[in-house]
Amino acid sequence: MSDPPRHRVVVTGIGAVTPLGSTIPLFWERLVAGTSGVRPIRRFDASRFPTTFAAEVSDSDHDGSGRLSRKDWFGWVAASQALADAGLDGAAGGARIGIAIGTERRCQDLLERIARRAIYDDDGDHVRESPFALAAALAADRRFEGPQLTIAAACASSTQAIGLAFQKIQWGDADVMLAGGCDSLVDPVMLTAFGRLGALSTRNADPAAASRPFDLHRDGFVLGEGAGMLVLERHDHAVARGHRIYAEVLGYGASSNAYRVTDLPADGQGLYLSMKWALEDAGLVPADVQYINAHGTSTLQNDRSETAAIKRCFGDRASQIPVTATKSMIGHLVCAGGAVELIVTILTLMHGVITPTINYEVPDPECDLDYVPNAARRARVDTALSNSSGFGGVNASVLVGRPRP
Amino acid sequence: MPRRVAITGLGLVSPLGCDVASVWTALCDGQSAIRWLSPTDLPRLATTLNSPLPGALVQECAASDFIDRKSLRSMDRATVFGAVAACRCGTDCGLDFAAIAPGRLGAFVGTHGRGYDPTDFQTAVRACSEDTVLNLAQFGASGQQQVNPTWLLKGLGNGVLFFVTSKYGAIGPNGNFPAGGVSGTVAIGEAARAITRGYLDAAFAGGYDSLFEADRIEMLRAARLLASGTDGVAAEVVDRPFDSRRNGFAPSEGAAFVMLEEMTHARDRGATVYAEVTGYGLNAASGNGLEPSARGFSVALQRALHEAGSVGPDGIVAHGLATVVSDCAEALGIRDALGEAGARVPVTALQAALGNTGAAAGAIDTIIGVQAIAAGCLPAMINLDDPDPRCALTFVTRDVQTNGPLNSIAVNSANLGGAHAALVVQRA
Repeated sequence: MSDPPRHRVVVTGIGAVTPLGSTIPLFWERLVAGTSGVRPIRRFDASRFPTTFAAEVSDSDHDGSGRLSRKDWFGWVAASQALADAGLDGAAGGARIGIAIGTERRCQDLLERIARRAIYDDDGDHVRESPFALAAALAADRRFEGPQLTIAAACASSTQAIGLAFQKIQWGDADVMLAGGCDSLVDPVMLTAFGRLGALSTRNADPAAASRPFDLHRDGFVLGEGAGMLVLERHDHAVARGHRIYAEVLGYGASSNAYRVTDLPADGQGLYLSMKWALEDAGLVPADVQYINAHGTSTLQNDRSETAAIKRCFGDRASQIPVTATKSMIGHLVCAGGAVELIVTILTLMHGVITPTINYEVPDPECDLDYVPNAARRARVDTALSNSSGFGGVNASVLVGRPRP
Repeated sequence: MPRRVAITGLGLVSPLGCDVASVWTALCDGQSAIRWLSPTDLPRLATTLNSPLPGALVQECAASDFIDRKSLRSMDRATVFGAVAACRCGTDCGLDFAAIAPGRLGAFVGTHGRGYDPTDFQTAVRACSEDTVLNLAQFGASGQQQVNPTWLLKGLGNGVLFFVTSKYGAIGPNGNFPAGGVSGTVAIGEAARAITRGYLDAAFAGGYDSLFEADRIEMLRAARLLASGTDGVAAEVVDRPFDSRRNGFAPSEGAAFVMLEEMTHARDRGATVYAEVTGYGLNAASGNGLEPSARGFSVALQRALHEAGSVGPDGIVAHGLATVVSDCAEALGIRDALGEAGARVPVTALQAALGNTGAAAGAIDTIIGVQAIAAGCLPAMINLDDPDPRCALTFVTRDVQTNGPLNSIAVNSANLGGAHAALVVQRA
């Protein structure tokens, strides 16, 4: 079989709404400073829950009404930033521009609805509450008539969305794809649901220290919210219009653990495969990778399983590769996490600065990599990997590189 | 040589049964599964069903024949259907899963997405509420402890993907698409892409759904999308795609999976090749209020046909949503995509018989398209007594049968967010 030549794909726009700020410069500045975005919950009275804190977006102007839900509003804002950043906020549209969004429906007022015995009685509810509401709204508003995908792969959703968008451009289905994800889990429903599963940190006395990936005393993840959006574009398309290129998307790998719904295999098999396949997809070898943005959730299992996967993929070199967990600062953005973390990875390539894993104090003997503890580090990074794993046993890895001619 | 995509397995769960051959026969006999539903049919929806609702329910899918008890307890209604349809497909395809090269088997699933069954929360929330106002402090201190620890997992938006990948060791590339009415179509289309482009040799692809969740029924009612009927009207006649007297759809449920396999891989093991997936088109082009548009249907169909290298299909399984906007848009879209032939190509739609199966529809329609190629005919539409003159197509009815062999069938779908997807399946 002889493949047709695949197109090169680059990133020409980024946008993010995060617990550390909703502009890229502010977000980056706080990441480099090692700031925690985790605080006691302010949006509702969480004071008597087993976990009382989260990583909230504090500067959003969403007031709960309107045609988009809170998480979709985050996505809308991040998408608008990314499109403006890519210089596509004007009349761009048409059949060669598509959308791939990683998200799931959230029903943040479920408990209030039960209490009020409220039914959905507005004729717009079915649109607003659809899992594909954001993709639909963006496509309609911007007249993006290319492929439209909504991907629900739990915590790997937006990484898979970016991966599939990358393939759409590689294989000629589109010239430009808006890709990313959005989510909001700071609500009593998810605080209950994840709490009952035993997945959340309960370090109520010191919320800013609660998300501590790879640290021996980690006790669960921290709920977060936000959105990350990227404009992916065919390389020659971006060059022809003379737009700045942030990075090149080099490879994508996705796998399933075929193991358990929330538990992870101790040997990191699934995530190992997604990293390996991303490298193979790019035609690169492990020695080419100089930085890994980990899924790093701060749960006992994830951080060990991911460490094992990285060691398996990178062998003797594993301990020489800086591995950081952005979740130490912004908590777990679930469907949005992968996109925001890929943006962090791209900013790392651009600035030559690796942002830290904060709250790292006591090494876990089973997590023995270089996690860039607590302080940012200067380093030239040409090629980097971003990992995501989700409930249901799904994994995804994206490989990006500094722009080259 | 380009890689081709064979369909080598079929699995179905539908309100007309779960065996492909008998569902086909029931459709050809003009049966409808739509009934007036009462609170006793679905105790979980008792309040919602206090006002009469025509709908189609899956009666029995022998779930325990396919799924172990522990897994079954962790699944919601729709997830069970999806898992059963996938297992039926897994058996039907005759693959020796252990013999597939590691990482070369994947799964692509169309889903309704995360479920928000309030049942587990109800008692606790009401115990912590006074005059319909929830006391969150009280709920946080005690109420939340009454919620089942597995509530989150039961409504998992990728529960079927998890089940299929685990059961069959499908560790390769995967996708899970909550995209309303295009979900199943997109899953099959994206899986076919993964095979033609060399990422996989075989993939489970399909969709599953149950519209019978209180919140979804309420929303569809509020949007006036559900078919209604007055007292004394037979439920079987309320869902009427393309008919002048249509007024919405009957909610339904079901699931369908196909096994997609690289053609050489299938031939080398001597598999039965039911048909071949040759074209896929996906776009966004919403009409008013995000409803489907003529351009959306037309472009999706054109892209799928272009990819199939086919001037026109021999038959179409239409989306046929039975709303004025969608039906008129679809008819115009087909005419626009096919030109002259658009008025002559035989068109059928299954919704009058099966109801709206949501995220499963595209996959169910694909299986019926495959059966149509084998049988040389399309099932006749029911309830099409007075075709809407704005929908000038050749509909298959008891009086108008298909003429000549069916070598290729197009499957149309759309969602209520402006996305449209089409597939072309062909005789292998």
